[in-house]
Amino acid sequence: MLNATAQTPRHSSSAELITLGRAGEALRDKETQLVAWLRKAGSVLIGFSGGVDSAYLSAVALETLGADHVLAVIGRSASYPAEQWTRARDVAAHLGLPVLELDTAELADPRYASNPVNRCYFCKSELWSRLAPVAKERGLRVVCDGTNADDVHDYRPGAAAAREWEIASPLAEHALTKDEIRTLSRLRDLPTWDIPSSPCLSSRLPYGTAVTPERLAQVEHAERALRVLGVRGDLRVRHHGALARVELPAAELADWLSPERSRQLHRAVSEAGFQRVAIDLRGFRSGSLNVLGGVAP
Amino acid sequence: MNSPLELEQRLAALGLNVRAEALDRHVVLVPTTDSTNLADAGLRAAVLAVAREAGFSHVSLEVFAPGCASSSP
Repeated sequence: MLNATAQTPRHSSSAELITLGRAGEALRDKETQLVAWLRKAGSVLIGFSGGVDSAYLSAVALETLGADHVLAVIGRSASYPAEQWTRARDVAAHLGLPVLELDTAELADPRYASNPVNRCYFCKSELWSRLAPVAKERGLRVVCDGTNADDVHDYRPGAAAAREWEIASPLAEHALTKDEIRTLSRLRDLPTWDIPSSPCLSSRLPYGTAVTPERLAQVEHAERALRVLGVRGDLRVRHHGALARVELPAAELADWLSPERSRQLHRAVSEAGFQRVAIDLRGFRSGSLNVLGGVAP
Repeated sequence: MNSPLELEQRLAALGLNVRAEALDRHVVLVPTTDSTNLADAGLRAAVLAVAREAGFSHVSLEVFAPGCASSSP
């Protein structure tokens, strides 16, 4: 335990919030309410990915409750790239956050592996079935996730599993949007404030395409290679069998469509085992396969 | 509608020589000449608009498609 004593919550940098005017006041109010909610909870277990949302929630929880009353749990799944676990560990170490790592096995569940439109429900059911007993054993009163206010409007079948396991979503509950969480994270100097979102690799497979370790590895390999080539913002390699459809940040599209850059991109993605490579002309779109799958407009 | 043939004709009118391969609501544009360059944002927007009218929600451009003159990597 690196910090067993709760600190007086300092809120996100007061001076900077003042410069944000009314928006800053609204943010301060939301964070104050979040702190009050955490105090009332008393102790929390947080499903931790090291991403923007769970890192912010963990930072506020740690500051409010102290390290004896907070545990961040990293669910290690084959459906996440190895880099994500490394980043989660690094972020936790940066924050001084107590961490536990657990393996999850959703790929062994045929209901998940067949990749139905409610695939996320089976993943989250597996995750919470592992985390809830840990909270009970350790006397942590509330299990939380990093769902934010924007997520509530998305197609998220995993939310049903969270409800079944009585998982709290304090960021969403206090109407904190992704942009607001990024702002508050920046004001707290959290290293996560500007990192791209990183949903699981299964989200790159169209519904109905079986989730297999081989396909996930292809996607992971291709995305890693494109990062090495210099893609900076949101990136997804969507797996359409022999064809990879690459979604790039809109601001980078023109560059990657040039002959030289598209040649590099083709080579990098082909080496991951795709026979054909295509660049999506609209660029990155969150939930792109939900649209193709007919579950989102 | 989702008609690749009609989409090809409308894209040709924009100066794009491509074969359109429909995968449900996703259409893959396969260049048939070397000169296909969609780096221009205005042209890209026009292509997306035409494809949307043709019933496609996702449009991608195959890069270095086999059989496209000098496009082999």
